[in-house]
Order: sequence, then C-alpha cells, then structure tokens
Amino acid sequence: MKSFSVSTRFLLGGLLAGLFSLNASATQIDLPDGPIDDAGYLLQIGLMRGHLLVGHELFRQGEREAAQTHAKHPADELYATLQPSFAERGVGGFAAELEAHAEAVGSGSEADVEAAYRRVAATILGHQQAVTVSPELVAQVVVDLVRVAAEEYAIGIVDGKPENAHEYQDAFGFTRIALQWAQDMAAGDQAAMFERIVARLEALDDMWPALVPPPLVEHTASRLYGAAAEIEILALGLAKQ
Amino acid sequence: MKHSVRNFLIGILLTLANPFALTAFAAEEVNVYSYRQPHLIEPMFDAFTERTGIAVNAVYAKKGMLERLRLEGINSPADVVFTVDIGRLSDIKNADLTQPTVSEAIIGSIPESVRDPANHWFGLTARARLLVTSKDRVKPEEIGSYEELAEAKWRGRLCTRSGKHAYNVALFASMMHHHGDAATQEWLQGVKANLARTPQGNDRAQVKAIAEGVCDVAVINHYYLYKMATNDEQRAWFEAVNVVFPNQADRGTHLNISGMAMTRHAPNRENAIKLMEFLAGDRAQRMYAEVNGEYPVNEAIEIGDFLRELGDFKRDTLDLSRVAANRAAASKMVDRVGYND
Repeated sequence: MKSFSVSTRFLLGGLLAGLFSLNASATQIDLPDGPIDDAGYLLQIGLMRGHLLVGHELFRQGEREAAQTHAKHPADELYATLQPSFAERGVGGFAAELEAHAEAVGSGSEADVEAAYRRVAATILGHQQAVTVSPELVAQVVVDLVRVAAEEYAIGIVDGKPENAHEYQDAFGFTRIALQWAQDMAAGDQAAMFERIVARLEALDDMWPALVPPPLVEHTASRLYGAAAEIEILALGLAKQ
Repeated sequence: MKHSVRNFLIGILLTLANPFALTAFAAEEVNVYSYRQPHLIEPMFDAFTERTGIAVNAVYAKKGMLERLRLEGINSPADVVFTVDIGRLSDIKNADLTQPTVSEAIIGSIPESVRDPANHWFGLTARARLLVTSKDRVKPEEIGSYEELAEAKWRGRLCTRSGKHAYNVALFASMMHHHGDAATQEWLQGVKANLARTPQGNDRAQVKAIAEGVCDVAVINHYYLYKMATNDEQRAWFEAVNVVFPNQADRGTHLNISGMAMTRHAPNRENAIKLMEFLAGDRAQRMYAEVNGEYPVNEAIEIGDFLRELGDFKRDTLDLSRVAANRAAASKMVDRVGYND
C-alpha cells in the first residue's frame, strides 16, 4: 500500500462514491498499489491536465518559474500512481511526453514549449479516451475535481490573503478541466443537465482574478465546496433516469 | 501538494458572503444529507413528493456530514440533515450548522423530551436500549434494570459492544444524569468487571454470543431483534434470548433517537419546513418507524405487529438534550475505567 496526502483520496473515486468523502483530517490514507477504477483513473488524468493547463497559461503570461513547477508536478506527484492502470486500458503511458514538456518549459523556446504542450496534452487526452464514459461517471469526475480544487484553494487563499500561489493556481487548473469535461458532455444526450453544470462552473470564474494572486482575494473555498455539492445533487437526476 | 484543509477553513466559512447562491436549483425542491440508508427514508420522501410536488434530492453518507457542512459553509445546498443518535444531532447543532425550525405542526407532534429545547433538532423515531438474556441460563426475573448489570452475580456473564460506541455513550450519559458522576463511574466499573470478554462487535454480535454460550446478558438496541427475527441466518440468535425492558419499576427504559435538523444556511427553507412537518406527521412517522422496526417518537401513533409483540413499556422521558450534554464526560469515563481494555 502507498500513503498519500489527503486530496489524493479522490483517486479512489468509485470506492468513495456514495460516501461523504470530505471528512478532511490532514491524515494520510492508503491507496491500492495496483490499478485504480475508472473514476479514480479519470480524476488522476484530470489533475495532471489541470497542472499542465495552468502551467501553460502561466508560461504564456511570462511566469516561467511558476510554469516549471506545474510542469513537473504530474510526473513528480501523480504519474506513478496512475502507471499500474495503463495496461488494462490498453495504453502505454506518457512519461516521455511529460519529461519533454517539463524540459522545454525549463529551458526551451516558446515554440518548443508550445509544441511539447500540444504533444503531451494530446497524448494524455488519448489516455483519457481509453475509458468509455457515462454521464454519471463524468459527473462524478467533475465533482471530485472541484472538491480537490476546493482543498487547494483553501490552502492557497487564507483569510483573503494568498498564502500559497501554487495551490491557488492548481485550483484554477482543476476547475478548468472540470469545466472542459462538462462542456464536452453538454453536446451529448444529457445536454440540459451538463449545461447547468457548465453554468455553475463558469460562475466560479471570478475566484481567480489573476493567475498570480493579487494581495487580496475576496473569495473562499466554500464556493467551490458548495459548487461540488450542487453538481453532485444535480447529477442525482442522472442516476434516476 | 500539501493538504490540510481543516486548519485553514474552520472559523471562516460560515461568515463570508455568497454572491453566487444556488442558481442551479429549481424552487420546488429540497436537499437532504442523510446518514440513514435510502430504503429507510425514500418511501417517506416519495410520499412527500406525491403530496406536495416538491422533489427531494437526497445525498447519502456513512461519515463526514458535519465536516462537509462546515466546509461548504454558506454555500451548502443542504436544507435538512437526517441522522441517528442524539450525539450526532447535537454535534451538528453545537457546530453552529443548524437553525431553529419554528413550526407548531412539528412541535405538536414531537414530544418535548426528544426535541432540542431551541428547536434545532427533532427526533423522529425512538430506539430502546434493552437487555437481552439467555433463555437457557437466566430466569426472566433475575434482572430488571441497567443498575443490576453491575451486580457481582453477573461476573463473567455480560457482553457489550464498545463502550465508546454512541449508543453506549448515550446510555452512560443518561446514567450520569440519574445517578451522578461518581455513582455512574462505580457502576461502570462494576459492569466492566462483569464482562465475559473485551467489548467487541455490534449489537447483534452480542446476541450471537449469548446464543453461543459466551455470555448470558447483553445490552442492545431493540430494532436489532426485528432484524434478527426476519433474517434466516440470525433467527436462532433471536430465539435464544428473552427481552427485558429495563427500569420499568422506576424511570423507564433509555431511548435514543433518529432525527432531523434544518441546516443553518438552508437555501430552500420553506420547502425544508414542509418536509420536516410531513415527516413529523402521523403517516410518515408510522412509515418511518415500521420500515426499521423503530418506535415513533409520538406514542399516540399506532405501532407495527413486531413492536406490539415486544409489548408496551415505560420510556425514560429524560430530556435527550441532557443526555447530549453529558456525552463528552461519559466518553471520558469510559476511558477512565478502561472499559474497552
């Protein structure tokens, strides 16, 4: 068994389904060493995509140092847990793409970074698409991503002051990936439901007045926790169908 | 990523403004967070929706409700919480996560002893903490009160679940009210001295232990009798014991409750009141009690066949808010006497 810090509990997605998984003590939890279920797999993919997304936005804004940190995190913190789950889904992993991207962000030209980002993003998306998703599964992943974002935001912004810009930025990336999931599903059979989820997520935009937080941020993680709960309740309609 | 959410959130979530309040929700619905299982409460929710047209959205949990409400704060979509045990209800109230519900219909249906003095929580069903005794080894008249559990004649003959379990803590808390701290501690030491084994398992495991000859007397919640009587594998355990409603000659049998409370920030407050009034009413109480073999808190409501067969009994009408107030001290007392050691 491996021990992970509290937010990594969301990798257990399916195992936690139906539980109130926000019993947030800052304790370690155990995760299985082997493959994880689809919800956990997609959440992990989503977290990686979120790190990369926000890192790339920061790079484009000239924040190369911050971008480097985000570029490294998928490989440093998340990839090893995901790796045992590749084989059963018929995919080969993307360690080389992650490494190439991180190196480009560290020392490459803008063109190198753009190319490496496109490559790693496309490869990860391919790994995401190895899972056949249902609306219920996507809703669960969206909820879990927003809850992880809430945890990050709570660490990033304390009493209106930026205490940890990196976590604040993570929250942005994870929420953006949740929004992308919902937007993709809003074109499908459950369009009305996911349009409501999209609207709920878009209403959170002002929580990040800038990617580098200003001295005063008048928002709290409560909004993200509340949004996750609302989306969870909206998604109850999917289960009843 | 380092995550220590609790330290950063507690204390600030409940006081901050919410500029994006719940636009995703329709007017005619009510949101419920529940520790109770779907099969226990969805029949009442369906009946409520049928009567009012108000949809009930229920999220079910096994743990973490209080923390979740705390983290969601003013942005929580939850309107009503359902849970068992006075401890959980009072914990949520004490965390400032509930609000009073002012309703003559509810107050008129729920006895004073099983509702919060300030109307933050309300009992819906009652659960009697009983004694069960071996049919083979204990004569029915040999024990009739919780107090007698500490008598020396039961040395090595008692079984209970953990002393720290909420059901036992509530019982011990009630003993503290009736007898005072010192006498209750002496009693609890006596009970511990009489245990046949280290406290373990759930209530049904104690009945099984009696059936297997491990011990002769146990303390359980009454509805487990119903569960065992209707379970082919466990019926023999049920048939191995006699049932004793303790303290019928004095204060009556200790009760705990399942109950409900309106959340502090309930966004659908009017619908929440309607749901709570419906659940406090005769029809829902009867349904709610029957589905799990529990007693309606309103004694005027007719009970089902199984409970009738168990027989009438005198209830301890001690105000449960007093039990709640003694819980922390009772839990410490369990540690002090080394009950679980």
